[in-house]
Amino acid sequence: MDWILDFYNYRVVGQYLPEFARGLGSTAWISLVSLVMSLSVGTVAAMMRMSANPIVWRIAAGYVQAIRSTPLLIQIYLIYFTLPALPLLGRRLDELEGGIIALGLNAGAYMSEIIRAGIESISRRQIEGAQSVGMTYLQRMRHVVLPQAFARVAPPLLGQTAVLIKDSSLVSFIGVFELFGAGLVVLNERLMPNEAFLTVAACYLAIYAVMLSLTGYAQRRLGGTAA
Amino acid sequence: MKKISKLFGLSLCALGLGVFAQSASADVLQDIVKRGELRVAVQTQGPPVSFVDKNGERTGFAIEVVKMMADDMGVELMLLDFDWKGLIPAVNSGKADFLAADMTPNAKRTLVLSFTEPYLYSDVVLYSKKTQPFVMWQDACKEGVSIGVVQGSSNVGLLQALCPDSTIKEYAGGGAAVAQAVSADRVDAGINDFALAAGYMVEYTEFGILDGAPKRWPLSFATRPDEHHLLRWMDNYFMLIRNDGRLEELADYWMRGPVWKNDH
Repeated sequence: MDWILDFYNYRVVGQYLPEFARGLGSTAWISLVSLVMSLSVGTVAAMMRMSANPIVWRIAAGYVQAIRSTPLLIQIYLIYFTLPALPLLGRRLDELEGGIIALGLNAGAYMSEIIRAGIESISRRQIEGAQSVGMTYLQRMRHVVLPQAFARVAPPLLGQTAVLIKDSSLVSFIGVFELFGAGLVVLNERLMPNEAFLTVAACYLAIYAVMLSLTGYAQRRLGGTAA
Repeated sequence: MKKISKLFGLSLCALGLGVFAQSASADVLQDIVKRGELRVAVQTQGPPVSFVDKNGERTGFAIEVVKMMADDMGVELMLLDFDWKGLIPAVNSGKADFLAADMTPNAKRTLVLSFTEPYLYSDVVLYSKKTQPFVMWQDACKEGVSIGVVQGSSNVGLLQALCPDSTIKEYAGGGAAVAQAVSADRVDAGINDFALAAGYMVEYTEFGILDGAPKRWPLSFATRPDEHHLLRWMDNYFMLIRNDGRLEELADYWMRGPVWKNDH
């Protein structure tokens, strides 16, 4: 294994395990919370976007266009620096909250378009069938449309999730310590870019691998790949 | 599972590519003279060390020193602009002959790069809005006070040692991001080199520098560990321009106050 030491000194990386563990935990947590948020926001926005009421679908369309046409870093800065104290909270959002909300809202816009495509791909007859057994709109969505829609669009959703996980490093700009920050600690203290950033890359890869297997599981649970 | 093992196979290949990132030459000074060009890796960390001025020209203290260096060598100067993360690979891969930044040598960093003798010593200061009740920098070292610092800078460790009771917030995006955080009341104070902080005082008139300097960092240029001749040459050069007063002249202009703001 000594040949590896020439370009990747794992002994040095070992000395920074606590930093990497903290960074990995932080990135995983930020990604998880903003993923849940983006899926919920995305589903609601997709359903609003398909509404027949022009006020409702225009709000959703405006949100999606506004997010997709501006850079994520600007959105993070806007939420963190310019948002005043929130009346419900009684204070301003802290770094972590601001970062997660910005990430969730950003990914939500992209997710909503993917989810909308999934919903639209469900055959009209299934909805008519659900209607004929007396299901309400929410019941149809919950039991018939959404599970199949999610199963169908799981691969693009996973792709968007991978983008979200990598984008989460941008919250370091508002002072949140995450995986990339751990790499910077190694770079700064040891001037070893390989040790710093290959480790960071491996950690991102590990998160992605976990997501990949979770998606496969969810897809089988929801409706199978052939649905 | 197969997909996952494929992923890790790919990542191992990426690791392998790192092996080829190293290269070396016998004496880089000879190469510089032969090619008639000095290649220097710089960073755009902001005024007054290295920045692009209002005329669109790259200038600053470190830049003017290397311009003088290339002039005295009798060669052209090529500046390669990198992000902080790219500086060390740029030098190690041989793309640049050395790096000219306001980098502080220490025991661990010197294991990787050869640092010159310091060309300047730079005071670290704390600054805040004038409305804050701080006078000395120690006044900001209290529980409940938050201090902003550039993520990954030497000042992070310094702050943790000096002000363990304060809340330390690390901002990626450089000193300007910290100044922005102070201005937007996201932190109570910021920490940076005096020269950079003096620049913020002009941009943000509501800011003031707190009295006293908790630390004085040595600033050096750095090159590959095997470039002994180049390192000796640079040390010798700093000695020469220190003796003939040119280094002091540049330091007075750039690093000891915001005089340079009139011209750039």
